[in-house]
Amino acid sequence: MKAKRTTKPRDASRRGGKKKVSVLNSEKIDYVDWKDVNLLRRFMSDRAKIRARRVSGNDSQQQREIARAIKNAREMALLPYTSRVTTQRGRPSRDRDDDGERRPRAPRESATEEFEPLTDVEGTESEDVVEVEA
Amino acid sequence: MRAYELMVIVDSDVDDAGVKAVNERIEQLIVADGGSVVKTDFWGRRRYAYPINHKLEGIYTVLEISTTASNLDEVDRFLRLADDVVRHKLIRLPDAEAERRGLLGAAAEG
Repeated sequence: MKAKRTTKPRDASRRGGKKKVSVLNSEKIDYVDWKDVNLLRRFMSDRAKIRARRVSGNDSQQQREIARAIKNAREMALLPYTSRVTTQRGRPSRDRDDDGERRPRAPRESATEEFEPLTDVEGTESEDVVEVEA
Repeated sequence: MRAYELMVIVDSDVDDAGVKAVNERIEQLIVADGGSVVKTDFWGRRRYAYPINHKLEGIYTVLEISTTASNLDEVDRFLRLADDVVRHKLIRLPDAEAERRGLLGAAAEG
């Protein structure tokens, strides 16, 4: 199946930043090989979920082919269905991985800790000020 | 003639001779139906992305096949019955991709 590739001129609808361009476009890939693990991994999150179109920048045809390829590769154990992410305690860092995926929360008893970094930051700031004045 | 791609995972406990036997049997079945194995890509031992049957690796082979339509039922049946074969996947290659890999041209000659 040949994916039609038209560059959309209207990227004003996108909030902030420039229009995402799929790797498939920038590397001119016209057949998504389900054996190409390294390519497919770029369309998966670190928990091995398939990235959404709004994250990957695929058009619908590309997304369908990528999804199909990833699922084929999973059946043949080339790619994982899931992969656990090791959690570090404390505030989860909000990195640029904006695929809307829920990062594993720190254990329950540390739920109140989420506020602590904020107060900590303020505390150190005021201390700094005191030091400068003194 | 159509181009297909067949990936076979043989159990990691099977020795080299066993793997060869499986691959030869596949080729035999395809040739018997007037097709041809254009390319055999032996990947060798590869770690699974997740354990299968409590094993962590398998022996992968990818075959590029050119044959007329639906002559592969027999191959598929053999692969499903063979105990040494952990998994297999048979994919019809789109004509454009087959041409790019030179599968259809080679079939016309052979």
